[in-house]
Order: sequence, then structure tokens, then C-alpha cells
Amino acid sequence: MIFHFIKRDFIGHRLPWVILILFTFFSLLFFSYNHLIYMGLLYAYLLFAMTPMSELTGAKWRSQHVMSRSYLLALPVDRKKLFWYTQWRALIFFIPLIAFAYILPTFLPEARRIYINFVPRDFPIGIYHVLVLVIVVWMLNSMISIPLSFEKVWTYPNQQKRILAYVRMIGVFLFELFMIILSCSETYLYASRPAFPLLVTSLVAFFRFYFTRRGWLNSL
Amino acid sequence: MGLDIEIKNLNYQVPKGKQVLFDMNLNIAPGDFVAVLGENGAGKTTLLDLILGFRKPTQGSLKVKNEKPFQDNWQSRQEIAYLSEKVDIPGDWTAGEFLKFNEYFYTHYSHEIEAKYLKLFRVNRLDRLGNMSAGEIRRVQIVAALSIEPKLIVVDEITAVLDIVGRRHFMKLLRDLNRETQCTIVLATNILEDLANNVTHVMLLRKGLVRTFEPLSSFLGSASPEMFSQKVADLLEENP
Repeated sequence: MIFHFIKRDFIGHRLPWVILILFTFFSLLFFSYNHLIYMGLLYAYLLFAMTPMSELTGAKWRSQHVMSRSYLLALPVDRKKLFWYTQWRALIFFIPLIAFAYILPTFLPEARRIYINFVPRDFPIGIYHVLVLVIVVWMLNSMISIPLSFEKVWTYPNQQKRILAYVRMIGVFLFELFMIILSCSETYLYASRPAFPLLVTSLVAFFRFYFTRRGWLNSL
Repeated sequence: MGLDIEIKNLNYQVPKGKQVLFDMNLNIAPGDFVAVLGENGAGKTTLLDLILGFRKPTQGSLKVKNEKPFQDNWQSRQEIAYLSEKVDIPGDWTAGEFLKFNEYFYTHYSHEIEAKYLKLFRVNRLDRLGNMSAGEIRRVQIVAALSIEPKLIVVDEITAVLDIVGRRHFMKLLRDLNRETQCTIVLATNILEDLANNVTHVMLLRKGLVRTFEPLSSFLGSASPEMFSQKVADLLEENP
């Protein structure tokens, strides 16, 4: 069943995929001498991964260009499985970003310090690869859960409750980001144990995943 | 045979929000065709959301075929057709692409029925949904939803965007399905036209309370079907 969704995603996003491939090809062909192009590609891949997010989760309110969440949840599909399908579908759009982050340090070791310059120079490569995946899981679930939280907050009856909820929501996100950066930082927590960034990021990603799942299943 | 819906002491409050439904008690028997009527905000859509398991009752219980929809008995949804004004489809899909996508999930999908309804609702499989009017998109959804040979049809205010002919076809189709297959139908609407000739029961909601739930004949009493709209409006305007 997952392939039924993925097939539709590919058909619906043929053009963005082609544009991304062409952009990568011509960027590397003409500008590979300039390290800044790698930064540009990183942002392009990140933007590409974020674009289909609202389509994957389904729209709560009417929107002619996006599948409705009520349609998805009314399908005879186990809703918990449906959430997993959403995760895998979203992950596919992160493939260029993951591949880029994996490949780049091999060919351009100094580039790792360009796009994640807080990462220590001697960061173990195995931990780095797992860490990239865990950070993607965290980013992916943040991108799903933050709009879901906004949807919920909009229904709160008074402004005080809404403002408190916004502050809490943004505060939690910034705290998670802070924890990830802090754990990867050369001068702080990483210094004590190399696996520390992985441990902290995994915990943060797990909690974000758990609350995203709960939020999506109760989102209508 | 249709599915039954059993509602006992049902209360629903939006999380951190207002209470929408109050102490609802009723049974919808298999084969009933229920019109759910009420002012805007009376709780019609919330009731349908509870029937489909989109929301969890705050108190009391709601069972469809003796199962609680919120517990996600997803196999049961093979028998449930859902038509809602909230449902939208990506504009870059063609009607045929949507029908094919939808068909994949249902084991009882009938191409024969689909072909019949495509003709009845004048839907062209090659037309792009982004170029269709709201009413035409609803027609595509009707074809998709009713081709699964449902035992329960949940309709949330989609008749408003259908044109006069489309609405008449749709109401007649629902009535025929109800009579021929004994499927249960719950239809929330604000359009009262044609209801008196088709539905078997009337449910009137007012500020989250069931004001009336009775068979059409007893609701009308000695009044003629032409007086149906008048009677509904009078009841809604009455002081509680």
C-alpha cells in the first residue's frame, strides 16, 4: 500500500524532481570550484524536502490543491499505519539531502565545516552518518507537528490561551534545537563522549516523533 | 443490509474549547435514511466526525456496528462511504486518476457501478480536477464513494454546491440505494428541498441538543410533505 502512495507522490512531483536534478547537475558542472555552491545545494535540498509536507499530512481545512486529511482518515487503512506511510513518504523527499550530507565529506572533507561548522573536526564518521539520519527524523517530524500544533491552537477560545500555546510550541522547538547544537558542539557536551550527540539527538527526535504521531492521529 | 448506529449519553467537548454535543441518546437502525438538520454550529458535522471516528467522545459512547469508531476498526470502513464538503483532491489530478487511487483501498469496488454513475453525473475521467467547479468535484467524489457498494453512507453538506439537476439525481440515487440495498444513510444538510420525499427519519439539532429524532411520518403528523421546510424552520426558531 505504501507504494500506492509513493507512486502518486512521484507522479505529482515529477517536475520538482527534474528541476532538482538539473539544478544539481549544472551547479556542479559550472560552480564546483566554489564552496558556496555546496551551501546553496544544501538549502535547495532542504527546501525541496519541506515543500510536499502539507500534501503528505493532508489539509484539515478546504484547499483545492491538497488532499484532505478527512479523506485520508476515512480510508479503510489502519490510521497508525497511515502515519508510518506518511513518515516514509516524507523521508523520500529527504533523500537528496541525506545523500548530499553523506557524500560530501568524502570528496570535500572541509565542506563538513561549511554547512555544520559546529561539528568537531574529528567527528567519528559512523556516528556522523547515523546522526544525519536522526536529525532528518527530527526535522521531518518538526515540519509535520508544528503546523498541526498551529491548527490546534487556532481553535482555542481565547487569546491568552493561544499566546501561551504559541510560546510553548516555539520554546519547545528552540529548546530541542539548542540541545542538538549543544550536544554536537566541540567545546561542550561532545568533548566528554563522542556518542553523546547521537544519544541526545535520538532522544529529542524520539519525543518529537511520539508527539507528532499523537497529534496527527487526533488532528480532526 | 445497512449498519446500525447506537448513541448513549454522548457528550463532546472540543479539547480546550466549547462543548458541542450534550447528552445525546438515540439509535439509528440498519436501513434508516436520517436527515440531520440544524442551524450552523448546532453540531451536525461534529456528530458525523464522531461516527467516522475522527473525534473521541468526551463522555458516553457511540457505536457503529457495535464497534467504537474512534478505536480505529479500519476494516469496517470498507463498508462506509464518506462524502463531505471538507474533502478535497489535488487539483492536478484527473477524475480518472482520483477514481483509480480511491479504488485501490476498497475490496468491493464495482467498475460497473462506477461506469453507471459516471454517466449519471456526467463525469469525464480525463477532466482535470483543478479545472472543475466545486459541484463537479463533488460529483467525482460521489462516483468514487458510492462505487464501493457501501452499507453506511455519511454525507456532510455536499448538496449545497450541486446544481438543481445534480442534487435531484443525488437525492434520488440515495433514496434508491436506501430502498434497494437497505444501506443506512446519515445526511447532514441545510438544503431541505427534496428531503421529505426521500428520508425516513428526521434529526433536529439545536445548540448541541437533539431537539427531535423521529420517523418522517410522525415528524410531519398531519402536515403534507410540502410543509416540511416550514415545520423545520418553525421548530428551529422556537424557544428551547
